[in-house]
Amino acid sequence: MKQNLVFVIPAYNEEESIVQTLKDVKRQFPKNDIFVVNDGSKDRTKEFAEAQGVHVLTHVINRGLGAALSTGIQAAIRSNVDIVVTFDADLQHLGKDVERLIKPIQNNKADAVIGSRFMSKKDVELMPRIKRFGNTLLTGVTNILSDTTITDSQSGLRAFNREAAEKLIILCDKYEVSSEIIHQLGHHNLRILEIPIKAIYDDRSVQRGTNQMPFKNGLRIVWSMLLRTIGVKR
Amino acid sequence: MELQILGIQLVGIAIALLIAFETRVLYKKGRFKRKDIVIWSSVSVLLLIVALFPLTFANFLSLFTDIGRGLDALMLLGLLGAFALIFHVYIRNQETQRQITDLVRKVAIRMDEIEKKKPVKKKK
Repeated sequence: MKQNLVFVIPAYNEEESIVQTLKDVKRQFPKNDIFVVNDGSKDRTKEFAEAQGVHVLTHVINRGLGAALSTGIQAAIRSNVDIVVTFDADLQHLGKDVERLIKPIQNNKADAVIGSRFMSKKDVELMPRIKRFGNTLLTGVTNILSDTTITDSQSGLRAFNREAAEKLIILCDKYEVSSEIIHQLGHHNLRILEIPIKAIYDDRSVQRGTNQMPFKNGLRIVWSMLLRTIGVKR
Repeated sequence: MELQILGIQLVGIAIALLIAFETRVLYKKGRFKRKDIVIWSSVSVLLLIVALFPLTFANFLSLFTDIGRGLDALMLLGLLGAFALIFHVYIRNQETQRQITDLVRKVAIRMDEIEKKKPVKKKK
């Protein structure tokens, strides 16, 4: 049975990379719906994405990665979707990895699949040192608090079946969302698998995301996880 | 009774007056409701009393607490009150942030639905 796959791509000021990202995804999946969530961008992200003929959901003000992902996932669930794939707009991911990412869901071997950048030793070495250190630390904390055993909690390339997507109630607006997703998957006892993916690091992608303020963002992630664990954040 | 005002009391009085002034300004601008003006005026009056008569107030407090020295009781209660207030503000802020995000999300999804329903323009 053919399953309906939808892409969710959060984007904030990504005019330099959004077109190439969308072209890459469309090359691999020309018939699938793509929801770009323009998270209050001040540049021409919206205009460029619309020109590619994809759905563009626009946040009138910037609310953060978590809020954008949640908007995209909710919009995807409203359509007739079987699998939701989240994909970064900064050219870090490769469209060709998605085929392998969704396979375990299509074969009913997993409810959620995370694209891990830590499963191939060769690729890990390409990751900037500060990013590697931060990711390892955050993944350790996430695993302890979520009772999971994954290798890359901060990966932006993920796939969920409809059941998992519906169970995700994202409360974190910012970068804490990656750990929050793992926490929720663990909490709901959903089957999580990881597959190795290749990540591309250029100067631009290294300057963005959690790398902008690694210490502050790292603390926010840990704090948010602790609040959730003790039940203050529901 | 001679009233001696120390430095720390002056700070307390200044803060109380500042709260009273800000409350009045915000009420005039329409940003404070009647409930807010009652709460914050009470806070500023209480602070003023504590700043002007710290020992009397502290001794009064020590009657109700098991803490021997009145000033210690005052400090401890003040600290606990401040923590409670910070926690309350934190929770309220979280709730406000969540509501803003919900609103922004609803607008985004609704706009997308309206966009989808629009008839496709035919090229001339």
